[in-house]
Amino acid sequence: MALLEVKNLSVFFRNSNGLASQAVKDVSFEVEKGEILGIVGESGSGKSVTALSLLGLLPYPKAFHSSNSSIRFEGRELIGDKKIQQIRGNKIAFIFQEPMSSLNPLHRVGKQISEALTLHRGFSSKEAKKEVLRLLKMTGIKNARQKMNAFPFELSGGQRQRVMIAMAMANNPDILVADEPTTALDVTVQKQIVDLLLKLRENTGMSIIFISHDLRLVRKIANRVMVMKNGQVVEQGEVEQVFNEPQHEYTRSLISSFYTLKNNNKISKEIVMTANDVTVEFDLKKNFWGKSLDKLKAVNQVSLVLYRNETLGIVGESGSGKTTLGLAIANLIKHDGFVSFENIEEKQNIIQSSKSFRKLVQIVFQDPYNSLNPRMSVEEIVGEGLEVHFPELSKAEKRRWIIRVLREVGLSDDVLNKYPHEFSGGQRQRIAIARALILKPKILILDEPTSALDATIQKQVLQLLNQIQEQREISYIFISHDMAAIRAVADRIGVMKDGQLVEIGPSDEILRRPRHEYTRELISAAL
Amino acid sequence: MFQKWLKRHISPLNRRRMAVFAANRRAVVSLGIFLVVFIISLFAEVWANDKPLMLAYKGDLYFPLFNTYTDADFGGDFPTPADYKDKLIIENIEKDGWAIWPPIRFSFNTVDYDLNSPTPSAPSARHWLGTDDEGRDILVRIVYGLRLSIVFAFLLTAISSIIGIFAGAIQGYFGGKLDIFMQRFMEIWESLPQLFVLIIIASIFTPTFWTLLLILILFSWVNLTGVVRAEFLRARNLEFVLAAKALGVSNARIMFRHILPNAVIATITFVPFILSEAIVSLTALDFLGFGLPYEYPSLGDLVRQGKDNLQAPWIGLSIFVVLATLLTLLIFIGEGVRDAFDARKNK
Repeated sequence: MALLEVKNLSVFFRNSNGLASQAVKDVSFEVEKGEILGIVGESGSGKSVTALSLLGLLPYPKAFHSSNSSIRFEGRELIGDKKIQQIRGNKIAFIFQEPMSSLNPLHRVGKQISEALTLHRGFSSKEAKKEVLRLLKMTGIKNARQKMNAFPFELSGGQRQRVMIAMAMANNPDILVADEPTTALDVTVQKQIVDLLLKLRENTGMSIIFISHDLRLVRKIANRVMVMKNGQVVEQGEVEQVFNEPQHEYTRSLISSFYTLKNNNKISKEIVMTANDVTVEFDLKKNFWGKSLDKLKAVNQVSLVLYRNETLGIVGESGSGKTTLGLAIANLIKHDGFVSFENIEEKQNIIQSSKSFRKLVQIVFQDPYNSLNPRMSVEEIVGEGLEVHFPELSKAEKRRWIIRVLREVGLSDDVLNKYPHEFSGGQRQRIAIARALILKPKILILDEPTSALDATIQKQVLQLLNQIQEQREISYIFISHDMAAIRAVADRIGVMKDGQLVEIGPSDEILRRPRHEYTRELISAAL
Repeated sequence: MFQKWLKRHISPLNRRRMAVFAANRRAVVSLGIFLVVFIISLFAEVWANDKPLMLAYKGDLYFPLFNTYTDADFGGDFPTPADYKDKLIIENIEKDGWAIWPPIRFSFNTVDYDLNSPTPSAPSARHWLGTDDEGRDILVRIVYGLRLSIVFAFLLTAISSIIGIFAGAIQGYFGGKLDIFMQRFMEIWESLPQLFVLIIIASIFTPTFWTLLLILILFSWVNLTGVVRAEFLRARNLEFVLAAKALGVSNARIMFRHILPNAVIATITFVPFILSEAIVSLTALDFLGFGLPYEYPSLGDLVRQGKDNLQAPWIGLSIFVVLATLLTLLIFIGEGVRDAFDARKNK
């Protein structure tokens, strides 16, 4: 008998009108002792809901199961079990995606971990303290003794996730359910956490259910994998089998979405942008008169050029200053250093303070949910640039421009009167791209344009960007932490760390023969 | 047709909010009662007045509601404004024409000289809620007083909200030194004792409706700035605001089109509460005698009369019921609006 048996699990949610919608349909799987099961799927595929129902953590009675659903742990039925607390956190432990919001910000982490020990295992506070230290050391956190007395905000994302793991391990669980445990972390930290989970599995013999949208990660960690789509299991099996011979169409499209899209661009040698010693400083501490005492150089003397029709990828971890660099180039943030642009067709040199600068350089942001004003219709959003720069256009003409650019990004003209919330993430990002393109810019800064999107949608957006580049001869500055996305589109790659551009060069060279230590680390963590 | 219009002109978000508000029965009923009372009071002159609405005299039509006529016009002796309570005038008019009278033949300042009992007189068929200590009808005074209070409160709320939103918007959007200085100024301003300033001003000249409004605005605009400032501080770094900046949109346009609608949401939820606060402060000032002068029909003045004439409980009781009901209605409406705009409850 398997450790955990899930049979015909269905989950429904009742909405406020009393209508039920099905989130998970007839999911069956088993987890053996010591096994790592990977659950893969895009957002909305029901993978998290499946995991939450294992522990009865869904918002009952708004959520309910079908009568033939069954979850058995060591032969004991968990659905409808009133004493599920004995299992929850004790035999089956859970770690969540967002380590910041899953720790209580008002308590020291040591206290939060020891709570589980005193509650479930009846430790005295002294014993608990010792055990907490042991657990923290086990997770490989540095200065474990000090970190016990730290508040969550004093820790980095990776450290917080280690604390969460220590908390989950406190009761020696038989199964650890990890719901996107590394998604909010940088790639190099991701790798450390995955290594930690593998080591823990080896030492304790527990099983892990690893939920992720990231196929590469799952391939690295799991023994078996289950692919979910629209609440159903489309495929499950041994990892190598599923990845090498995917049976289902959907699995194939998921896997293929990571391969290179770009056929080499014809890059001209004409320079469209030159940045010299761009520096952005933030005040960390100020004295009473507002004079800064301590500064953070978010971008430190970065110089680079951008050629016509090329894609320059800027890669780095969070806090490396890559987004700030993008904002500085778009003149959206105060900065030192000089950036100048060349309008090649009109043979014009343009600086950031000039009026036509805004027409020349546009920016697309990461999160399509925040970058569109929820109170404006698509027509108003996309047309706003026209009203500023071409106020002389008639209403009908404006509408023609808007429709043309919407078609270019693959949207039909019946979206004009709709509002952003009526669209999916991918469509919203298309609207954001349309807004940037309507002024016919020559340089487009793309700040993590795909990282908030699902893998298959990511691929579509990247394809769209490549298409637009071919038609418009536009230059991209593509900022991302995602090596795979960068590899798929960039002609040249710049690597940023702690505000400095540590390496820049043609993609092939950077990927094959990275010179800088940090670049090597990034690439090995990502691929 | 109406549905189509709604769909076109009101964003889905607002439609959902209206639906949430409509689902709150207490708030809808309160809003209904409030509107009915307010509209009735707006037309108070038409049904509670000491002048006829319209009269015909010697073949000519007269409209005393809109024009002032003299006694001489109707066969009297003096060229003073016509007194339509005068028996001689009434007789003259009825002899040579006709008059349409409002159902209640008292205005808020009409003193009833035909009372049989000493003032304040108890409720009777002639004066449903009795009269005050000067022989004026309480029901009529309450209706006129309600209108004054509500209009005053609306004006005060609207004007001080506009000033407050404007100040908060500038503070939050530009931040930095401007923000610090304005914030300090407001702290000093807020700590001025409002009541003493009013007493001083009232001792120099008699306040009128408009001067009192102005003085109260001086102190009440600070109420909203904090909320709006916080909203602008948050919103100015949102990505859609950055995107608008990248398009070259001007600061004023960003503030008005992109941030203000978001900030207004935060303020709308406050408005009903500010309204009831304004009514309370006007009533309190009138009660203390620092508010509107004698010739205005004010609720606060009735409260004072109720206190001074405990032997005539109908004064105190009526005004108590009226004020309590009015404020409760506003609070219920306010709760409904607040819940409708609450993003968490909307899900």
